[in-house]
Amino acid sequence: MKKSCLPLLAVFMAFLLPAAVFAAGASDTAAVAGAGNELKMRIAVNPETLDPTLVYTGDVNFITKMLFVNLCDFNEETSLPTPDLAKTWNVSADGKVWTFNLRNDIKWTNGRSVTARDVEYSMKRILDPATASPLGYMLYPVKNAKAVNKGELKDIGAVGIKVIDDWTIQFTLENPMGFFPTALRSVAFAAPKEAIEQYGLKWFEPANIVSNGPYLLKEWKQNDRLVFEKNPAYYDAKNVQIDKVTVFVVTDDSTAMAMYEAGQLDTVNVPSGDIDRVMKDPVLSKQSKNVGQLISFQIQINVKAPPMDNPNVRKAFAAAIDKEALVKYIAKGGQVAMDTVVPLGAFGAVPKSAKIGIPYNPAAAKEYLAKAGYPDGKGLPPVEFNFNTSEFNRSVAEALQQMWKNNLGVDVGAKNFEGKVYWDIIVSGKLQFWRMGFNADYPDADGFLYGIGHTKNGEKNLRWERTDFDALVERAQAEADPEVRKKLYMEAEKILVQDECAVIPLWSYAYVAVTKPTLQRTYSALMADTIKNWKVVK
Amino acid sequence: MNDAKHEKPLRGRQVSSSPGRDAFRRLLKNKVAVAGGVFIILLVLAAIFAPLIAPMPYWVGELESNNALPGKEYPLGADFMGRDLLSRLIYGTRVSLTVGFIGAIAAFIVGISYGTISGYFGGKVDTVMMRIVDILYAFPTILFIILLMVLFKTTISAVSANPIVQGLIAVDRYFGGLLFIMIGIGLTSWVDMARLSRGMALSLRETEYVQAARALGAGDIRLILKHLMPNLVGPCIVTVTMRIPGFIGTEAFLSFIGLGVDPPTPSWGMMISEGTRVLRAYPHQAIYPGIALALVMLAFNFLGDGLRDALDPRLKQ
Amino acid sequence: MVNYIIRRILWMIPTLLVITFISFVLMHAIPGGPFAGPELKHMPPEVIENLNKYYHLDDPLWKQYVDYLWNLLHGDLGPSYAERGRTVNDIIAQSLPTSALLGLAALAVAMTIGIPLGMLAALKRNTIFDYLGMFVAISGVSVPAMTLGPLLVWIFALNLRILPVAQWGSLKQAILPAFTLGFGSAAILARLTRASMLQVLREDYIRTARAKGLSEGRVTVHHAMRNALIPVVTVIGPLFAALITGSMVVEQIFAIPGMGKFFITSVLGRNYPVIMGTVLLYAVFLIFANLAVDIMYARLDPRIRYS
Repeated sequence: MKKSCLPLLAVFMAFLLPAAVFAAGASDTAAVAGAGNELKMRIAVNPETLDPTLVYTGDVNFITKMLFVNLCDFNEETSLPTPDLAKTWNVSADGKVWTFNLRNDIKWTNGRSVTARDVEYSMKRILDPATASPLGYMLYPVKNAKAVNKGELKDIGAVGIKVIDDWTIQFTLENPMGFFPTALRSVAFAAPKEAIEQYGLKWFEPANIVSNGPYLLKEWKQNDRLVFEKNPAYYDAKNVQIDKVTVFVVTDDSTAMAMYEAGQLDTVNVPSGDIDRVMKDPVLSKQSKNVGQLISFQIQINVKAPPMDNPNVRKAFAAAIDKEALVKYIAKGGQVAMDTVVPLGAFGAVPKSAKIGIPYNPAAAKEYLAKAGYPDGKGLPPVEFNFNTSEFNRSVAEALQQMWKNNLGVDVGAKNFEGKVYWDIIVSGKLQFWRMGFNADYPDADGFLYGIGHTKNGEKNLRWERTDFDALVERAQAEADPEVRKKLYMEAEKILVQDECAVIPLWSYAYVAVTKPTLQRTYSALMADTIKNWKVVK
Repeated sequence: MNDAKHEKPLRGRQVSSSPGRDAFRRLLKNKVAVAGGVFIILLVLAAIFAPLIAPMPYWVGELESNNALPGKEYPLGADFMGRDLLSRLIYGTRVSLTVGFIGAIAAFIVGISYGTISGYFGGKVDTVMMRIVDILYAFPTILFIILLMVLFKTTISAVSANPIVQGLIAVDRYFGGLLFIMIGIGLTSWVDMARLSRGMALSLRETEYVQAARALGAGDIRLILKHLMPNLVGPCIVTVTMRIPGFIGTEAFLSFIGLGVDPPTPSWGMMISEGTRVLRAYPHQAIYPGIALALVMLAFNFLGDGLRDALDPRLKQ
Repeated sequence: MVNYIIRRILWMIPTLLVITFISFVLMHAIPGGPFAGPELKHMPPEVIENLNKYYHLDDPLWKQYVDYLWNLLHGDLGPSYAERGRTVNDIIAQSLPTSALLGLAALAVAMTIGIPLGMLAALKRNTIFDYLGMFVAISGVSVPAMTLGPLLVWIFALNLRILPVAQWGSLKQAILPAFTLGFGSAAILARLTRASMLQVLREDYIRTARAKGLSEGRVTVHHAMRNALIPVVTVIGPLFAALITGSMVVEQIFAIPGMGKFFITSVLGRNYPVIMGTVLLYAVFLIFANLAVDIMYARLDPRIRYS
């Protein structure tokens, strides 16, 4: 009898065991119908950390903003800085010394006041090479910051950050920078020294965390969810509308969309595969909103790699792309097709009326190619387009292949590389042209053009040598007069995308979000939503 | 063991047949297996004659007709770029079948050689060879193949001066990005086959049949090639046929996570993953490749089943 | 028998050692490091240098390997590069139970569907039940989880609204993921059960039982089934291991916080300690599963004796 029992027993156990465990463990699915408003949303990755001096993933920014105050907040319409921890700020005549005056009524959750020393501590922690913070480079405009971070200067005190008194902090820069507060966007948080020293890298766990923002971290189930509750001691608590926020960790976009439709999420970004369906649905389409983002989707070219070393070849490839069709049929998110690099919401962007750049023109494309010596693509050496692995990028690449084949008669190969190697391969100079999504750390043309194009201090992947471009962006960086800056950037773009055609802009990002009618939310163009401004309406 | 050659009295014009032909006849009687086999042959023909059969080349797409529903212009509908699904399915047979067959051949040749040698020599040789197999067996295949694929795709990339590498890249490009997938699958699939053939070689070695041959002075190589291997071929073919659906599925999985074929090569796995993205809006884009994949797996499974039944002489109908 | 088990377990040590070596070599052979940033932002070289120093990635490779083994001996599987402050031990402790439960649930589904289906097909051989059953079973292997999952969600969660869309924690939430994951295994079990049952039914002792005058039912249940299940039971161990390793797609689709996702993301993210940790974990699983199979075979089939 023993023998026959064994298999049956196995079946029995495998069946009952999970059921029993579930029944025992089934706990938290019933939503705690507590008092007050509640918001359920989603994040696509498990936050790597909640330490504001270490957080690097863009997706997590909105959580940092819920927990910590920054020197400046941002007006989501104009992308200009507004007071938060800092009440006022001013700059010296030579443009190099910035002084921030702080509020004195913001308190940490352990009762202590937030002072200028906390800001100083936080920034020096970022710059300390031993911390190995990914944010270090954002403070490089500050005097000696780069040298300290690289380990060349051992004394952290040499950095140009000075605490004048509890409520005043002063920064001395290497060079004048008209938009310094904007550049501080992601690094001017205050960090609690005592908590970090006591708990080390676990200081931001719910049991240990000391924060000063509009919300408190109540719970964090790794890879599952984070739960926040309104901080009654926040200095502006009376304007914070939503009492409880649950952020679910959901990696898969389609799953998140399904959760929204089943009522488990209050707002979500619509994956591109579902956009058609949402727009056709009478209910969903009313809940949808198109949000622009200050990220440029572009093709960068290595101007030293044949046949891309011939400007007419580059222009031919540029003119052969029907960007409107790409946006309409492939990207579908209401992206804005662009012939220039800087997205329209950032300062210094070139208006479409200026007609800079190489527009779609199949006839001109053929002419350029013929002028280059390859009429109808005959004799053109093999060309390969590269992109980093993602379904979306793949679909764009396939559409581009089609367009180049139809309009130029050229068979372009396409190969994808995964994220970790992509950057290294680009830097190595082995590619001809590739797809790049470029977002600046702050909403100013400087963040885009300087980085992409400066021949010595930028990314240098274009491998071009237009030093006149350098002169333009350097002047624009130091310049204070906004009108002058705009003109300088217009000239710079003309060199970049028209004369040299070293970059082919395709569009500036946008996404479609759907939101339940009970939620009134704001939409950030910079991937950093401000939850404290959201409201739940009945 | 394959010595059950029925000694039927010769009647009239009946000719005594070989075990192989007996098996074949038994196979033909199994209707589902035959159906599977025929289906596979049809697919092979479709793969070879794809440019003639397919209504449109697989890379041509009218952006305006993106996601078109099945109808007159696009019999099975169009994908997100307006490419004809039916044509891409037809061309997709090339990828699936290539992966399936080459993976099978690699597994077969390497596995059977390795296992037979190990089983025949026994003793220390066997222990060492099997230890290696055990270790490889414990390595999670999926991880191993992902690591391999990432390695291939990143090192053998873009521009390299080495002519061997250049040659590999050219071949890879010709196959639409398939070469390294086949290498990856080949490298991970021979282990099963090795174990199986080693087990059989071990038992075969002790039979009187082989003992006699050895007593007559046959050398090792002769024994392996003429006496052991032919008897192993049957069950090994069966096993390998059953594994083919797995190879095809692995390619589908790799394409799904971005480690598969290069655009615009159509692969059923790629098409399924693209279709799943728009599953609720345009289900046809995932359903048709899904059906195709299922049918091909079914065909190989039925064929494998039939082969096994046909080669096992103890089976009573 | 006990000696045999001890020897097998001892063999695990060199096996795992070789596996760590192969993984280590393979991992570091792949270009790219953990700190090439995500798509939209890339890290400046100074920052990368600091990070490499912090994680000892600038040490010579042999030293990194030795350090890893040394830590391993102390039970420390290393930090996760992608998440500051979390170690691989943390990750495994938090996500393994979830994956294990999912695997068990899927196994339950596979067994309750597959085994009876296979039995039925064998008993009613070459009838419509047989063909239909096998057809359904084989479809299970042919429809990948990536399609089956969303399909089921669409039907049951969004249209019929009787089951939740995603996530983990309650019995209801477990149904769709368990089914999606287990359906393929159900097919494997069904075919195996059928083949085994057919084999057993042909055996002489079955004919003897029938000749003795036992009823068909008693013959089937008592004698045939329990012997037919022997090879089936032996496959459950490896099947379970395979289910756990195969859960990555299902976990992604249903937003389940399990180990599966770490497979791919750690390779793509060059998160070396997590890669090593997961490989080791699964290797240990597989080894134990195979050992369990061999032991069970010995217990159930008296002809097999291990020394």
